[in-house]
Amino acid sequence: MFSTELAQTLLSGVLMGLIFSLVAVGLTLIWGIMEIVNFAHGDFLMSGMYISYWMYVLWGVDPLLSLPVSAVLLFVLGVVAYRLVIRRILGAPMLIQIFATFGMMILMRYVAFYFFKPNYRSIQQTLLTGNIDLHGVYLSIPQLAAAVGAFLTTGAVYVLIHRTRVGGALQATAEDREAAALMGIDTDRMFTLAWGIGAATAGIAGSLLSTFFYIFPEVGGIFGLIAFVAVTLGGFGNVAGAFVAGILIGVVEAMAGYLYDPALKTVFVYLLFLGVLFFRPQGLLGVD
Amino acid sequence: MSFLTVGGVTKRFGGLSANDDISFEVARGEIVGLIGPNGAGKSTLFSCIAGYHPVTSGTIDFDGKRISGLPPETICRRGVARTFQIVRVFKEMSVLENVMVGAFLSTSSRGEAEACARAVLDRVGLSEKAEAFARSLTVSEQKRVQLARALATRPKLLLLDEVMAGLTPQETAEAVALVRSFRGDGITMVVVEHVMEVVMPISDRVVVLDYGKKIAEGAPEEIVRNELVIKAYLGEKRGAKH
Amino acid sequence: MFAAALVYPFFFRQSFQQDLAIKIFLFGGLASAWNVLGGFTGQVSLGNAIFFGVGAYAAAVVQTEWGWTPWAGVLLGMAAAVGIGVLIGYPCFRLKGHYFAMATLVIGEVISTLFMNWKWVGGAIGLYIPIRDDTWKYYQFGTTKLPYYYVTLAFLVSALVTSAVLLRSRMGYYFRAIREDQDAARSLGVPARRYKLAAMGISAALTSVGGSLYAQYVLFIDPHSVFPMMLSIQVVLIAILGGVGTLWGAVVGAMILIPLSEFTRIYIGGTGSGLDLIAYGLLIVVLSVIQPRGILGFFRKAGAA
Repeated sequence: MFSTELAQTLLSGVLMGLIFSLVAVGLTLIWGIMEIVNFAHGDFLMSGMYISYWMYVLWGVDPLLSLPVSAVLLFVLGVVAYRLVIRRILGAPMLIQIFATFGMMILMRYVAFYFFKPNYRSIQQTLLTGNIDLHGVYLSIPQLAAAVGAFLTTGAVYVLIHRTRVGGALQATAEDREAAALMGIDTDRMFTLAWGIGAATAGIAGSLLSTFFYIFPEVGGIFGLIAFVAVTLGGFGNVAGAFVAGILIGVVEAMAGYLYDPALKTVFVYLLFLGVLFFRPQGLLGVD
Repeated sequence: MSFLTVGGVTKRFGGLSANDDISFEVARGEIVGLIGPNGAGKSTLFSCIAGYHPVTSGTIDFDGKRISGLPPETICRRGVARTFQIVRVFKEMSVLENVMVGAFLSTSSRGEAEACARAVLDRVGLSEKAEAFARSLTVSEQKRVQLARALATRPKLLLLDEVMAGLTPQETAEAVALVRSFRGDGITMVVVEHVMEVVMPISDRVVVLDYGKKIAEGAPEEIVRNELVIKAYLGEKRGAKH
Repeated sequence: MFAAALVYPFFFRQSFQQDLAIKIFLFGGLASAWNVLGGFTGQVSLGNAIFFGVGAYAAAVVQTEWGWTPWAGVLLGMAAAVGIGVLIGYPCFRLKGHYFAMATLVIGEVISTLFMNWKWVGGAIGLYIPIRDDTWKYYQFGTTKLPYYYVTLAFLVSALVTSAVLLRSRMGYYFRAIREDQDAARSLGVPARRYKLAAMGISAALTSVGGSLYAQYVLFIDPHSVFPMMLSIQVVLIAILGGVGTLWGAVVGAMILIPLSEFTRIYIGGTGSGLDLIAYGLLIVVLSVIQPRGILGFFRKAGAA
């Protein structure tokens, strides 16, 4: 009995961790390329969740099908955010940069709060429902599907970054902005792309999450913070690192809740974060 | 008795040796020039002396006491001041306030610090700009602010890192005269410069670095004729007069 | 202007108007306190609610547990706040910029969660401060807001005076040097770590006093009301709105933001609609983009050419 519970915890930790990974990947992309911490990232996720929710409630579209819509809309949102706000604060002092993305976060969160009310909502009937029983370990199919989706999307982003020309340009801009510009790479376009992709991945994560997680305006807060932790652990700008870190966090959180106290499980994640910040600021997997 | 003793200082970053077993001495009241092609390790050496980088191995002694391993602010309190190669003034503070930060080292009274700062500004010829924000000054003026700031700490040893780079001939001549005048205040100096014509007239002795190693040391006239030195500079394809 | 503040309550007798002023003073003081660490010394902390909460709980706990006067709680809170501040600062000041901000944010959340689960101080339920008749010893007045008004005003004034004294002192110059370029400052003999800790201590102590005063004003506190991230953000926003790093910026910011927030809440939103926060968000973004120097930035000279 003990080992099935443990296996259950570990497994659900991994599944959740895959979602964390996806959110973190978008954040690390933005961070890596322009060294701006996007405090609003969690709220991109929240937007994706609501898009899927409303498409479900109004037109009966399953979240897995509305996922592309979410992705596209969030891509646009990311680009708009960059063009309207971020581009103008690129050279600003750090306090202002922090505040600009913070402001975006508050704006998005409370627009949702105002229009959608703070109620917790959920999507009840999805295409894929039910559980799988693996020797006493129950896996919820929606969560499993979401995790798979997250994994695939993360993989797609990884391939984009490391195997395509555009990805190469993004990497070059991240490593040395001026050198990249001298080589003819349009830095502005790279930034726009980073924001678009970053927001889109968060939106996708949101759509995936909406199949089994509660939807409410403040949901961005927790996931955003966890994404920070993941990015810090994995090394800034490191997509593979964010992936591994996300899973690690999922497992740590699940184990903390199981072994200690569910109410405090996030605290353990935070403590892990602080530990990394102090002892290994380049991340567990980052290069010095 | 040597005032500043650099003993076998090696500084490695990862696998790269920026400074490799460098040793030399500076006597009190001397002006020692530190030259070498780009990337020779001059600024790194300064950073080591001033306490910004811990040395990988070797020792640095000042005024009879060990300073290697001490934090920058303590080394400054012992009497070592420096300027930075890339100008680092306090942009959102006025020129006067910039220099006052240096002056506060020896007093906690604002009145005294201000008086000391004004005197220093007068010395370097920046009095009219005292109230201006540091960021509104030209680069060469900012360099003088840096210099004034360092002077205000009443240093016994001054490390000057390329204070004359990028100056017009007129400005260079003024700077040379200014640096020479510090000697009258009993300040010992180590001056890093990239260009030979500037450093030779003011130095009593010259130490030459190349690729992190010391390759020559001696009076300016000898250095100018030293084959190793000539090769090091020629290899860089920068026209150095010899 | 000070004279106007002194006589204000006699012209504006309505409870609501006095309450507004009290809030302005409180937040103005908090923002000034934050300014010492964030504006002067350039260390952007997003966790100042920690100290606010500590002060609030200190004031409450000394009454509920030991029956002492809340003024003792003020002192206790200050001591605790300074202690916690130094404890946080010691490791965190090693971090640069964004990371420091994030660390303070995370620590704020950790402490908030801890208090929510700490039974001795009431956990998530919070603490009710026992109600008494009007008394200075226990700093409670049910019949009039005047004492609160003047005490909170005194708080703001002491925060401002502290800031002003700092600005003119060596400590203030060193703070600003650290903000501008920490390494250059160290090369001039500024012991950066020690001074950052001092800034943190001063900021924490002042914020804690604000928290204690708040607890006595509302007579009920829980982690949600005194530790939330939004509180930290609000305080920082006020400081930025007015002009970060200036002496009067916090006051200007509070004078604009608090009435704005109260009025949107009452006339447009109704509690909990979030419209006031939408306004906040918009304000923050617009401000960041258009005038990062805050309102006072319009008046500061750009420096002689």
